[in-house]
Amino acid sequence: MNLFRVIVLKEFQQLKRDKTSLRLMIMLPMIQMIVLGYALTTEVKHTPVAVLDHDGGPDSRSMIQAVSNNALFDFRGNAASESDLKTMLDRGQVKLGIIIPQGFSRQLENATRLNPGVAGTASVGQGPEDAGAKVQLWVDGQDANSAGVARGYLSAVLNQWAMRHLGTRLEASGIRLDQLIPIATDENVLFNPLLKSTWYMVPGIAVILVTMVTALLTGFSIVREKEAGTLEQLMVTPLKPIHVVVGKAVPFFIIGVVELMVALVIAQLKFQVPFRGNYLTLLAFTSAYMLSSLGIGIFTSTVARTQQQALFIIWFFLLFFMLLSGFFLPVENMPHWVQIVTLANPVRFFMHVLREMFLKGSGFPELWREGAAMLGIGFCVFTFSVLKFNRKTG
Amino acid sequence: MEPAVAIRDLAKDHAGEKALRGISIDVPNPCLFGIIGADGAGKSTLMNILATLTDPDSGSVRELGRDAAREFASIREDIGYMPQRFSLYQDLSVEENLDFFADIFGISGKDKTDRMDHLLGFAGLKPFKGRRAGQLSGGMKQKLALACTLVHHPKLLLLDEPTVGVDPVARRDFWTMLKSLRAEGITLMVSTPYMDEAALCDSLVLLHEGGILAEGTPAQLLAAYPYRLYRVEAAPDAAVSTLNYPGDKPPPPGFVLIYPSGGTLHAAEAPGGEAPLAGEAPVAGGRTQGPSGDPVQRLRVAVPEAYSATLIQPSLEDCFFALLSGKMVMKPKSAPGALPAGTGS
Repeated sequence: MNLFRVIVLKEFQQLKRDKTSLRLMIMLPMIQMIVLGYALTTEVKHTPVAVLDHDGGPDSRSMIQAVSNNALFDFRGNAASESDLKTMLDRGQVKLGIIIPQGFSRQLENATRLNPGVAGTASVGQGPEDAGAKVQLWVDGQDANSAGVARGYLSAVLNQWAMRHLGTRLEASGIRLDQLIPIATDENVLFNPLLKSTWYMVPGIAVILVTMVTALLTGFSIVREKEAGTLEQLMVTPLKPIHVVVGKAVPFFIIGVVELMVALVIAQLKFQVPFRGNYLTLLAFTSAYMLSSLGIGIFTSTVARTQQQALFIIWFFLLFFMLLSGFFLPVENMPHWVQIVTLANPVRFFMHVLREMFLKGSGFPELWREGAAMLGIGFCVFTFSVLKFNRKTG
Repeated sequence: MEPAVAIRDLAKDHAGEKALRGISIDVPNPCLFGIIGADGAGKSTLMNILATLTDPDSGSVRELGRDAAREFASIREDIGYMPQRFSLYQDLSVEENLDFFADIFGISGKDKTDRMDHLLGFAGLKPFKGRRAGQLSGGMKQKLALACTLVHHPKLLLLDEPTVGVDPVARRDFWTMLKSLRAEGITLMVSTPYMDEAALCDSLVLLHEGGILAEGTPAQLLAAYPYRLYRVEAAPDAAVSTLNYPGDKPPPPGFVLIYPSGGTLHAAEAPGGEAPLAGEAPVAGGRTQGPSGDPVQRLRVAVPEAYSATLIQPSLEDCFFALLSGKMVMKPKSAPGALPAGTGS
């Protein structure tokens, strides 16, 4: 019988025995996929806001209404004083504070009256100093990214309110605002028209899960035989390292593919992410990718002597691979030299492939470079591991 | 005829220490060859090298007429190796384990069914063939491991401490199996820390700190024992019937060695009242009387409870004790081919 087949069959026999592990292999990634699919979002929603209203006029109240009615913000009430607002920021109860100065309504009135040609905007923070009513904004800047986004949203909401305010006033004089504005944008968002971040993140989570399962399982499987002494026994037979390595990789390749299929089903049914690519193309790219993710596991098992060491080594790699894959942070934002480093990261390529395939329906013509890169990395890792896999004790 | 295994000047460092210091061994074909030694004597290192799993630092090994360093792949086709640790798949059944090893060695069809049936019968595991290997008793595990190493009709079997941790009955069964394999013409090299198993071997070496202290057949070793040996017992009605002797206490005058053995003491007395010089010819036959009267009297100086002293034939354990204490020296046979007579070379 073919020696590869002997090992593959034995692996399946053992897997079949180990029902608990088999269940864990499928169940745990499913749970992670569902939970993380909801949790991992780059959208900045429900930012807590408080207002200190020194004016108290109908205009300021109407503006506060505009903010509190918006789903992007959670209105946490009025602050009594500046120190009160400061305390709320200190305690983390709110991320944004709006201070409406005394005489806001009057300033607004004056602005529109004095400069009838200029839109009386409620300047936000560092806005133009010489015109319009002033509104002060306090921002909790710890999480720079979210703070920036939330501030942008708030400015947009306030500006929108100001424009509407202006519009009603102008209308009283018989001028229609939209006739004054020379540019109108007509937006057409492609691939993800509702700009849902889940559509972008869920395929990414699928990549991470498949990577984790395949790299860890392969790594453990060989190291476990090392620990049990069975590998030593195998080495004193006509088996060659390549038989053991490939024989071990095949079952986990199949598990990886099943895992990815489960992830695809969850992505489409649970999160309604459309898969617009071709399934056979995906299988081809997945195979290329698995070569490297399984390779990491096998490489680890040639270095590690115990499962503990294996776990540590695999985590070392996976953490780099995940964070430098463009999963959370676009690779384009990274320093140039880090971008070069990511060229050795198979996760980066598969992340790109899967996202493109999901949303754009891309295929070989668009993605062959990524495919070639994954094949290349996989081939190198695999060859290196087999060579390093000693004929002696592994 | 070329020996089954020829080891020349084999040296190997392990973790910074000399595990083997240039040993040479010839194992005739066929032979049940024992490698006797305490933990750390270098047995497993030697076995690992013979199994082609480790390269020696220096020296050479020829197995079945092939060079172990260059022709390890071909050697692996013809040897069976049973490591010290149970190393079969605990989650596979007895039958599946055997089947797996048969597949690896390319045995298929009727050959396989016949071979598996034979080995299950040989190991007495037929009633347990569906049981998972992990749920077998220690003795049965070892029998299964032995069966798995036999699947491919090996010509040389390397067994590293196969009976450690196995109950006495299973140990005896196991050695009976080894004897019957020897009778089939297979050469077996068995390492063991149990001195009593040495007597079951055709020929043996005593390893100590990586070197060979003695080698030969059990008969040759016994014949080389240079002392008169007494079994010293306490009075049958004594309060404490077992005797003991501290290892660091010097023996009573006129005696070379005295040590506990199964509740009694064994006391070795030099034939002329003095220890013979190292390597001197052993006393042949003349184990009659002590140099001066009753040995019990002389022993009482150090062991007041001594009641009787019986002259006994030394066992291999007594030989090993003398060898390990440096009170007996056997010159290792250096010239290849100088094999003990009657071992089939």
